[in-house]
Amino acid sequence: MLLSSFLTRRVDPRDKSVSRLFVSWLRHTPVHMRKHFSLNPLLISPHRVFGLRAFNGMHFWSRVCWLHWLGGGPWVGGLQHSFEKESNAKGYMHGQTAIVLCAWTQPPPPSTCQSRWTTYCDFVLARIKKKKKKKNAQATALSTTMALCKRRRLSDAFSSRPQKPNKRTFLSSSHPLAIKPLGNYYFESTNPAFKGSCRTSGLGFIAALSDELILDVIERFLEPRDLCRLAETSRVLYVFAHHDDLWRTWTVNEFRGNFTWSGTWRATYLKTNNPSYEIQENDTPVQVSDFYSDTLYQPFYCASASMEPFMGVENVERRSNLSMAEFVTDYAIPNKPVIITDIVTQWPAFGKWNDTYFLERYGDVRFRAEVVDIELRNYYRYAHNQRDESPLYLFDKKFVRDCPDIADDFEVPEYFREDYFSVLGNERPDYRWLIVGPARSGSTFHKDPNSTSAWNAVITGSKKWIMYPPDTVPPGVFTSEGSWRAAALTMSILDSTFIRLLLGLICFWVSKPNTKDESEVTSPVSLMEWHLNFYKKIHQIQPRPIEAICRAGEVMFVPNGWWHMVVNLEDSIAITQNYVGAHNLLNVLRFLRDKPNQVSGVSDTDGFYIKFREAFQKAYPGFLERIEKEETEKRLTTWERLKDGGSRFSFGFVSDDE
Amino acid sequence: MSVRKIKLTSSEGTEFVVDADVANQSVIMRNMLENCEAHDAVIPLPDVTTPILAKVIEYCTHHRTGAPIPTDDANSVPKKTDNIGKWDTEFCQMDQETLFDLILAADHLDIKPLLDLACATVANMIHNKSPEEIRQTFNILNDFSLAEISKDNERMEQK
Repeated sequence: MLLSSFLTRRVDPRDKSVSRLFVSWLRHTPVHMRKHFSLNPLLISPHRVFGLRAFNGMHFWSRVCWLHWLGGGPWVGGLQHSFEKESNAKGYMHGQTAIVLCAWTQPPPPSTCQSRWTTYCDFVLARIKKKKKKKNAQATALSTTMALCKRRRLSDAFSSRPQKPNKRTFLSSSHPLAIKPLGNYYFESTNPAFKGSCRTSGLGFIAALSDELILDVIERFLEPRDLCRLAETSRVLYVFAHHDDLWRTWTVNEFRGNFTWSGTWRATYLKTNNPSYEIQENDTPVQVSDFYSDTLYQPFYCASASMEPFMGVENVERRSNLSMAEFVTDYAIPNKPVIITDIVTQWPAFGKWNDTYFLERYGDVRFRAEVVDIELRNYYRYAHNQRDESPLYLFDKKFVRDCPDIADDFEVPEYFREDYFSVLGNERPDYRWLIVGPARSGSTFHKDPNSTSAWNAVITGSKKWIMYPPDTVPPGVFTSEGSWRAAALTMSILDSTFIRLLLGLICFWVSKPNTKDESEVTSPVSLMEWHLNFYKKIHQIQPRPIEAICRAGEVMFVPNGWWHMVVNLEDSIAITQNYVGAHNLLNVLRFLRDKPNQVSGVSDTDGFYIKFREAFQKAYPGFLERIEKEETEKRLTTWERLKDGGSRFSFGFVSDDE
Repeated sequence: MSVRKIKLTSSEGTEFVVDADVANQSVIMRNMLENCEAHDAVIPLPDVTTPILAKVIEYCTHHRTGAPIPTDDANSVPKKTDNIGKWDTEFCQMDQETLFDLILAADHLDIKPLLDLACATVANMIHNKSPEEIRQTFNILNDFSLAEISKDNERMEQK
């Protein structure tokens, strides 16, 4: 039976993608078995093509049924019990993502099968092209394997003539060590000259582990000198030993910010460890073109991918000549983002601050870059000569103290001058940062600390923003609130880099059923990885996010509680500050009172709520009671209206039947 | 007070009966059990073979009452591999195929101490060995061509 022949075929345990299984199945299934269409009672008419559909989120057994049906088996309605006896079927569908052509049609006469299938493939591909053109040419955001499946005409896969691999199906940028993603393995295997992969022989017994596990073992348990020796054992281990992320961790842990940047983290570690080490700049590394690995290819792919496809949407309001009253009414009170365009252009910093100026004036100052303190001169040596997937960027809270006169070059915009945390003096939480970073650096989805609002002024460069309202968890983000909806949506986007994250997250998330406080947030670390895998899902969650590109001279207002993600599109310098004003004071107090374990930016988090409340009441006597009373009255009014059931009450949704 | 008994089924269908505190060392199983109120729970483990499951249960049974091993910060320098206890060292005396299967099972079941132990054992098989010795240990084929050997396989200077 077709299904069991497909499912009992031994599958490489590294095969994590159903799409790869699908392609493999296509190649191994005789052509005549693929030609038949089953009689589906829902069939309507020939050429009614459902289109290309992601397999994501379908029940495991439904996916099995679809593939079975495509292969010519009878339609079984996707019911699990029909396949329960197929015990071999379990465990082979580590389904993550796959593409399936769902075609509704009358069963064609056998003689026309081939031509009809070809016609359907062409029809579907043409429809996809049309849809994509309409959609604004955003990134396909498919994994490399899926992209390869799509680009290669599916009709080719069914032809009995062996096809030469189409050059267009391969990614044009090639890895420095010539390794390729796993999807290439299947397409290259159609080539008679294909020699297979060197993985098994090159790893020996270690081949039983996945690439991710091997990297984990190396990073956590080996030392750099062990890795150098491993590099000499085989070509596959040479590739592992040149995985730059490993060397970045070791360099940062051992040398902190005092490394001698040498082009790659590996060379940097070796050079910093032994200054007499000579970097062979013109020597090409060993080319290992017969090794296929998504895990090892992914960082290079993310570092090479362009942000261009994700820059098409901008839906944030831009304002100038904005009065204080307008700002409060239109943005502060409704808690809505806005870009203000005429503030930063008035600062002395605008037009003055750039890398050259900073290098000249503050080259010797040590700034905080994530987990290390690094001299600016040294940082620029790195930033201007790196190809990291997630480059290090400066995020320094002491820049006013450490950089003489820098405070003269900017001022807090008038809209954001309420600063109630200032009542705490030196004990206030961290509140302002200088941000300097190259393209691709930035931060993944987060909410600003202590429920404060923020503003982010770009002095030079540009940043891409994606923002979600407070009660909408973005795709690809998990919080300890146990967002089942987010999880369900994300389950539909499984791919090889995310499945482990998902499993791990389900564990902690299921294990904390009573924690609905968003104290833990996890998402893919790499910004580009998020864009490639999750950006396409934006339209599946309502509301759509706010997207914007904040350019030099503009200020973004980030309302309190909003999820936001920021990516530098080019070398950028920016200043950001968090603040507590009248419109978010109560929110902040509630946050400090109810979520003390999430208070950040202070050394003593316990009792911080009491401390702030007391200091505030001392500085502004009576103010707090007044606004709390106003808030209570507003709520009472609402409750009275509800109780009476009198005039129509709305939660604020648009009501179209009044 | 009766201890809750859990039945674990391997891929071949062999059943193992363990106490709840043994099974709870696996985060995956702990979460399944928390959501399942039945006193006699059955957890099928189709990805774990019988001998490996037996080894996992042996480890978990021995460590059932042990204090949780303090987990290092993920970003810390390479973990120490020279502080493995006597019982753990003897437990890890096994052929490589079993050892790697054990790593896969510990990863799949999310038993961090066992995963760390098995990985540390593998790391100890690599520490301070020359490339040829590493090849022999793991049956690795030296597939460098002559031209490639002369390329940049830099050796770290001895500290």
